[in-house]
Amino acid sequence: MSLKHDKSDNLFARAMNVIPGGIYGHVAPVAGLPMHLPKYIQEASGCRFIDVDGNEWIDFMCGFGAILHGYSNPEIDNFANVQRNKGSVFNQPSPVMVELAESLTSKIDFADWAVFAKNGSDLTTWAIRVAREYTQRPFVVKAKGAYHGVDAWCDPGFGGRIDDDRSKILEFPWNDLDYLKSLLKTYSKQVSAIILTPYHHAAFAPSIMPAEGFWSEIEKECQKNGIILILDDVRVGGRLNDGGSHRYFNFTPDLSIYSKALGNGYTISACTGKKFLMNASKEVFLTGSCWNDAVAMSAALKSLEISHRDQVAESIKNKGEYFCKGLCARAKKYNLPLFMTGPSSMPYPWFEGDENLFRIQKFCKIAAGKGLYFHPHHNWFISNSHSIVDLDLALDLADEAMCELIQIENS
Amino acid sequence: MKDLGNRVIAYAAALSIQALSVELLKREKVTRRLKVRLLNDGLVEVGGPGLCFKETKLLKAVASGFAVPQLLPLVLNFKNSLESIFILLQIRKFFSNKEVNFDKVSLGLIAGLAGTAAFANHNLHYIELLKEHKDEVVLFNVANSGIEIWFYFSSDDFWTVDSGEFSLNPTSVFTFKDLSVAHGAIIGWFDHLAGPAIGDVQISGNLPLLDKVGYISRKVQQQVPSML
Repeated sequence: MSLKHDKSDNLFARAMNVIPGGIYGHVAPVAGLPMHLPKYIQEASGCRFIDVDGNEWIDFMCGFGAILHGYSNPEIDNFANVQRNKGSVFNQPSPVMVELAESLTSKIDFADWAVFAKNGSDLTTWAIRVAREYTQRPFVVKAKGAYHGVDAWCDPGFGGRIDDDRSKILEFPWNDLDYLKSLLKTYSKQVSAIILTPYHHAAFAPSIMPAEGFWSEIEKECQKNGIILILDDVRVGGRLNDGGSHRYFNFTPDLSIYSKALGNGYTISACTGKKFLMNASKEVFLTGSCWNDAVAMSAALKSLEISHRDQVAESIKNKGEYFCKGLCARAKKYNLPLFMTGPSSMPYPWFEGDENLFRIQKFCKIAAGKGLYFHPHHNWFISNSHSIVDLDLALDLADEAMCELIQIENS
Repeated sequence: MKDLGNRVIAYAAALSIQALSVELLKREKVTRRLKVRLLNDGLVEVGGPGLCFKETKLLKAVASGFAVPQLLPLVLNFKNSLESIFILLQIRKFFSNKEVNFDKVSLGLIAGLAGTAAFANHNLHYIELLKEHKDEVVLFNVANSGIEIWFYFSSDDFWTVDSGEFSLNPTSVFTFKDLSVAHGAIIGWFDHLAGPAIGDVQISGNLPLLDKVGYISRKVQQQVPSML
């Protein structure tokens, strides 16, 4: 099936004249399937969206994780609209900022305070500065290949950087505790923070869960060496446990950062922390003209409420399991060695032996022709608006795509 | 592999010339390859003893088609120098052709990727950038043209460029839509972000490697003069 894309192409042609690259960043067509996935989206509701050419898609990316409760969630939108009618950005914060901070500190067990910004990057970078301020140490340790945002100390690009940008950033392979320990020994009393995602969800590679004992060892090393443990829960936060992913993996960070699902598509991020870091946090300047956006904060408040009330993390885990098992079973029918890595609610699909990604790219291209938005290089997301009916339809279409894939490969 | 500092620019230009001579030798258009060598005192030898340029002069020669070589070695190795100059003129002839054809595009791609290989082998940043990809092979081709250029890490421990049939399977493939788009890329008219989105190129396989090679090639394009 060939989908229409004339309007999308026209828009992109216009964009090329006035926007570098047309579309940039993680949503740049070049990062996915440039000629198969839509470039511009008109509207979205639940787990479906309609692109500018009128094609309807069943979505498995959820705004790259920003949507947890479904697109255009009426409960959240209505609540946010009440605030929108009063205004969004003022000279001073609105009361909802305090309410949101209270909500976060009550739901996140270790959190004594919260601050807000717009994007994950804003606060991952701020958090390592808080750690540096508190410890008065320069180095930061991260996992190799982990994404923590667009700033020069961690971005996955190559341009616009100088050597100094990363001269104080150390890396270790995910789960390699011996390597980490040797790093900490070499840089004894010089490491301010270890910043990690709850599990390793690098793009272009299968997700890797923490090995048994990984997090307890990380905690132990941080305590032993006076290092601040920062959890980058930007992508995963709210999807494994509504009180933060650390509870799913049973550890306690000192600082944690949330964004994506926090506002269910409304632009907001938050950093929460333990009391002993409150004074250090006051010393590290933090602001942005629109960061006190009361509409986004209202949306986040409602989103958190729904997550807790409807036990959304558990719900999407079950839906994810249903979908992943279904997809793997259908793959098995065609002797396709498909594995869904990572948590079931945000699985990364991986064909065994497909290290160079040719097969997953072909599969996702065929699936795109059937209106399935499967990304070949990034983990997928299940939202709570995916119904069993939606998932069954997606599985049937994926089955057809696998059948075609096998036919193409055998021809 | 060692860092050549600023000399990598002239070396990239020289290696492009060497790669072009190798390619034309394969096609029996020249009689020998022009092996290039960096000498002391900022000199580059082209095609064995005789033809030798100061680095700045070599870059000028590449860009404008003419520069005065070092006279003493030229006089001392007159015959070899003349042969080398003749081969350089042969190479230039392919690029001065106004028509966008198989030869011009394939040679342009080889020259650009040979320069990219020079940067990948002799600039610390780029050595670091590609160090995890030594088992991988990138295929650059042009649809329906027969042009296939390979960029890979050779058994000599260097990033290398080759053309034609190849024994390894590619781990990434970059396919230009046609000769015209490929020619545009060679002369710097290619938008690497938008190109795949408008169908000017197709990309598949290990995209992070393509991304890195593409970035290095754009740095080469910015810094190393071209015959085109």
